[in-house]
Formats: sequence, C-alpha cells, structure tokens
Amino acid sequence: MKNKILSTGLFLIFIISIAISLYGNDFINISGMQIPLVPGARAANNLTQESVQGKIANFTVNKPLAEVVNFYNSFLQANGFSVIGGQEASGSFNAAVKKDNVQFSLRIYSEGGFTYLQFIW
Amino acid sequence: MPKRIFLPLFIICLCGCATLNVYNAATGQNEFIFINDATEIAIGKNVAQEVTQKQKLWYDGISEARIAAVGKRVAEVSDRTNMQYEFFVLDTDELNAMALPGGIVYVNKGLVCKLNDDEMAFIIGHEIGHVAAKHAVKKVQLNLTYQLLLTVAFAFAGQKDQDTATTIANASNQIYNLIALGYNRQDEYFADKLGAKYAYKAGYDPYAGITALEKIKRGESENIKVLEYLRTHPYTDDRIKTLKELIPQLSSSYQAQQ
Repeated sequence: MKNKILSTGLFLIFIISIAISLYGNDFINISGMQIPLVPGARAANNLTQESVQGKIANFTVNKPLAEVVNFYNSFLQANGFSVIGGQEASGSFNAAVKKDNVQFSLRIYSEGGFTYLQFIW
Repeated sequence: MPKRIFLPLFIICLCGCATLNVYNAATGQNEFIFINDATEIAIGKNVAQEVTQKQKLWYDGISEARIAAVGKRVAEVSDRTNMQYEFFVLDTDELNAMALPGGIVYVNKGLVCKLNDDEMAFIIGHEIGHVAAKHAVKKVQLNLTYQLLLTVAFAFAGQKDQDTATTIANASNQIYNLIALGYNRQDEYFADKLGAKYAYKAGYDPYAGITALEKIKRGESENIKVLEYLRTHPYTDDRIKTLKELIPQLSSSYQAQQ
C-alpha cells in the first residue's frame, strides 16, 4: 500500500513537471525583471550546455524563426532596452540587452525544425 | 506508463539533442560561443582603454603605417573578415604581440624593429588567427562571469558613475590579464597554422614564420627582452619544428585548391 502511494505520488510529480515544462511559462524572471516568453514557448532544460559562469534558460517553440525574432525585436524596442547585436545574416538573432541594472543575452535560432530561445545572464 | 506520456517525453528528448553551436570558419567546427561579434568588439574596445592606460603607444609616422598595411593585407584573407581590425605599435622593446577580442592587434616596437614584412605577416597572422579562432572569447567566457562581461560590453564612455567605472576598469583589467597570460599549447600551434596560412594567402613568404620565431629565440642569447614573449608564447622550439613540417603541406594544399 505504502509503495503504491509513493509511486502514485512520484508519478503525479512527474506529470506536473512535464505539464509545467510544456505549458507553464509566460515570463522568465531575469535578475528580478519579468521578460515575456513568446506564446507557446516550452522549457527545454536538457539542451547541450558547456561551462558558463552565469545562468542559462532554454526554450523551444513551434513557430517560425522570423515570427519569434519579430516578437522580441518589438518587445525590446518598445521597452527601451539597449541592444548590442541583433539579427544575423543567417536569420538568427543574437544580442546582448540591457535595461536599468538588468542585462542578459538573448539568442533565437532554429535547428532541426524547432525554433529555440536562449537567455543567458 | 500511460502511452500519452510518450509524446511529451519524446519532445523533451528531441530538445535534449539540440545544440547551441555556431560554425567557426577558422576552426572548421561548431562551437559554443555566446558572445556575439558586436559584444566582442565592445569588450575589446573597453579592454583597449585599459591597455593604453598601462602602456604607451608608439608613433613614428612609419612603423604604425607599416604594421597597418601588413595587417590589413593579412586580415583580408583571414577566416574572419567581418571584423574591423585595428593595428597599433606599443612602445616597448619586449618582443611580443597581442590581440584583443574584436580584432585590436598590438605589436611591440621591439618586434617591429627586428622583423621584416614577411616575418611580420606571420606574427600578425598568428594574432589574427587567435581572433578568428575566437581563442580570447572562449577564454574569457570560461573564466569570467557573464554579468561581468556584459558590464564591460555595455560600458560606453559617459554612461558610468564612479562605482561602475571602477567595476568596468577591474573587469577590463581581468580580461587583459587573462589574454596577456597567453593561450594553451594547442591554441598557440593552431594560431601558428593560421598565421602561416594567412601570410601565404596574402602573398607573403610563409617560411618567414620560421625565421621570425628563430629571431625571437636568438634574441634571448643577444640579451634582448624575450622573456615576455616566451612567457606568453612558449614552446618556441616545438613551434619552429611544427611550422617546418606544416608549411610545405600548406603551400601544396592551397595551390591544389586554386
């Protein structure tokens, strides 16, 4: 009986974490600032990462690269962020952005049919 | 396990297979570089301010033009031509050269006086090789916090209070020290390979790379200040040996491509 309760509990935690990873993110909190996630973005925490002395958050979204880039270009411009970099020849977006005391990098690119978002801060 | 779980699990596994790598033409590999070109240039410009506070630039009306002319020719055939390379001569007799992130290259007066243009093309090619292969960027992104690097990148003159200015100066100093400490053996050999390749492609004698290194090595016995160069560019004997093996292959492979 005890084992059954335990395994059911673990299973529920597993399901909830998947649900959160799939549908639970509207914003990402970067150093206290709420940055919106493009609608439909899902956490993709298992992306390959190498050593970075900072934090990385990865998301994937089933939207065209250009649409996601436009979403963030508009957001950054409308909200007065300083931007170093931007859209590259490949269509990918790679910029360091800053507002007040909050600064981070945003990379948007497509790979394997998915569009990826990466925040580093 | 319910069958419905398989789909989200499959998606998550797919996400786990993705990489964030960017192709580097100099190394021919996909690499994890999260500092974009514009940020790299901004960091380099701030570190350059630190360099010129520590060391005097040398202007005699001829040497800086000579270095810029050789450098421009070599940079134009490098694997990273989209950077705006700048070349300066530092007023020191130490036989050394250094490149900052973003493409600012310093050659010491000691080297300028000692090397001919072919030899200089190899030395500058070597430094541009470090920039093209992003050795400095990889080094700083591994060793410093990302917030610190962003702070340096965003540090434009006139936008900083005293505290911020001190933070930026300290961070720039850390980046400068990391670069001034030199690179690992693998990076040095690779920059040699690129230096010889770029010199050759720019129309200089690639074998001059060997004589450049031999002159630096001989400088030691002539009591010239080579300690700095040997500290930041060690393994000179091995590098000369490797270059002697590499250059004939390089020439033939490049001629075959043409």
